[in-house]
Amino acid sequence: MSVIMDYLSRTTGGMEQFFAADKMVVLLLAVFFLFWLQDKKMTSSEGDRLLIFALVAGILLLCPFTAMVGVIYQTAFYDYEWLWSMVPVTIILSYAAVLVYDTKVDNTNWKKKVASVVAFLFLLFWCGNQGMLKTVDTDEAEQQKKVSQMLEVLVQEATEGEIVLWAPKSIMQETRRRTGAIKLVYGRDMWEAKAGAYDYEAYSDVLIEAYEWIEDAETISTDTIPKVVKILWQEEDMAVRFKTLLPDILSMKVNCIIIPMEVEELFETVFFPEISEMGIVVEEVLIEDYILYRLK
Amino acid sequence: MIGLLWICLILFPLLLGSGILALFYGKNTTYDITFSESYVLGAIACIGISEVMHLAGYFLNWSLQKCAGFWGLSLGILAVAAVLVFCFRLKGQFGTRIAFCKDFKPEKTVTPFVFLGIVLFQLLFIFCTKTIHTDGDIYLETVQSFLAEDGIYKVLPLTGQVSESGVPLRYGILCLPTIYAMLCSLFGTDAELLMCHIVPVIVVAIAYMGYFYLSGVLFDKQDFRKRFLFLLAIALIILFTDTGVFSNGYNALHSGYLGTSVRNLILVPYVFATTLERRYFKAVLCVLAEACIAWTLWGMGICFAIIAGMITLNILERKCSKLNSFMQIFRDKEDLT
Repeated sequence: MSVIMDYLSRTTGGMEQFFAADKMVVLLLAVFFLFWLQDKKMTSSEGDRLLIFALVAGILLLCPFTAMVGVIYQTAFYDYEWLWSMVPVTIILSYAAVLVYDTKVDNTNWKKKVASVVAFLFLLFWCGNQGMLKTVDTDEAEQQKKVSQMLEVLVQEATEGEIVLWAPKSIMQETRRRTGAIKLVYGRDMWEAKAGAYDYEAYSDVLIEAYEWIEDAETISTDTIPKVVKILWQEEDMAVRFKTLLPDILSMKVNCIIIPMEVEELFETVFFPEISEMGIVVEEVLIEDYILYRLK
Repeated sequence: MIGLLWICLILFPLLLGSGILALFYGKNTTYDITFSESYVLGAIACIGISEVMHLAGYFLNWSLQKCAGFWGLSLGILAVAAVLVFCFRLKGQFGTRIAFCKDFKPEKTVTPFVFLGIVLFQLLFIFCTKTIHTDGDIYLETVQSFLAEDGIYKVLPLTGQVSESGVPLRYGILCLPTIYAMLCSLFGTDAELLMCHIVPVIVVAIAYMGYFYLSGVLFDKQDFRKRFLFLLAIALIILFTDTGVFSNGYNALHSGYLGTSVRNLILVPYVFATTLERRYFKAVLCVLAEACIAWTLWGMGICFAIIAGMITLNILERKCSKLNSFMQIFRDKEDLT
């Protein structure tokens, strides 16, 4: 029973998100209404069957209980909104647009034709993305540019031997997208739950702590003056946490660490003594706002 | 090599699809061989052949280079065979059976040009804009790991580390990352360029072929004005719903390489077209193709659900007079009295 309730709550949650984001279903309902009100036959036999299928499928997806069956059918991998792939919304809207234009508009004067085209475009504009195509935002573009420079160094290092990288998530995720030659101590599924659906692995407490530590270091370094950085570093017990983490991180064969430049001094006061005790040689490379430590 | 890659991506689906249509419908003189259907069927055939190579690499531990070599060779042989079958089965009928040759008449309308203008904009947008990464999408990491390890799922894609448990079987059998990795391996192309910019252009182009084929089912095949109007409306919806993932834009403009995008853009319109035509064998091919590219319940996915629904509707339409009356709500109201 609790499994059913889980699926039901997942379905209703998915429905809320879907209808908040997608207004094309409203247009679809308007199309059904339009065809129902028509006195003259506009559709072909194939069009009729397509409309009936879309109507029935749409009704089944609008009812939470039948939609829940669909969510179970398409497996837990996909959310509710993917069920709407089987409702031919785009096809029906286009079909209706052609029929309306052909029967109502085509034999009129040019003013009415232009007005009807503008009205159609307005409906799409209003129900869709308001003309805003998805593009990469400036911050992400900047980050990608920084990572490109870092990657040139990393790829060069990788030719000399296996690299296992520990870095802030913005660098880790771009690294793995650009090259498979560099391994990561943990992947994008650490911070992105959806990316974790593809494997059975769960991260250990050590790795979770390592992720939290380096993200705290990244957060502390962002837009803060050096004095505040020092205070935050001490308040967060960053040095103590790192000392505890370091042996475990090194046991996972991490041999490349990237940290923000703002925390370099604080990091090195902890890092170098520990490393030199273990007899590990460290090379530093400065790249943009980060420092790369290569352990050999 | 990029030029050769483009030529292969444009030519191979067409050759394979035409050969398949000629093989099964060559002697059926009432069945026209269309470019649009050839492309869609050719894409499905490429998925099928790639799945075989992928499974060989996954279960038999073949290296990626070995898979890519055999894949390229088999596609080449099959393409040549397809051309021979096409020429043999349609000997003397090229002018009468190939729909584009016999039916197309240039209409005095701007619709085809407006449509082509929008499509060109979309294809340039896909090719030229920076890659957008969708949450939960690990295709690029997977392809990069295949290329780095010269093998299929030897390591976890997100970390590059070896894993005892590996990836789930239902995910591991999906062949799209292997197709992209094999193309990179054969043509020496950068994975991001191929996957995020070249493949989506091909997917969207073939999608419009599929919609054009569907328009021939919904409207009179000779009525190119309505068919191009239909395509124009589709293109506008895809453009204006770019942020939508599922029912409308299908991520066409920035993630056309995803299995769900290929399914929604290419397979789903073709399933509707074939089930409306009551040609169920071709629809079944879509079910198999979907099982190879998207996570399904043991092969039963969106295409299967659509076929089941459409077959039920087709049977009911023929047998049930009550449904015919119900369907007349979309027809002339005078018939109800």
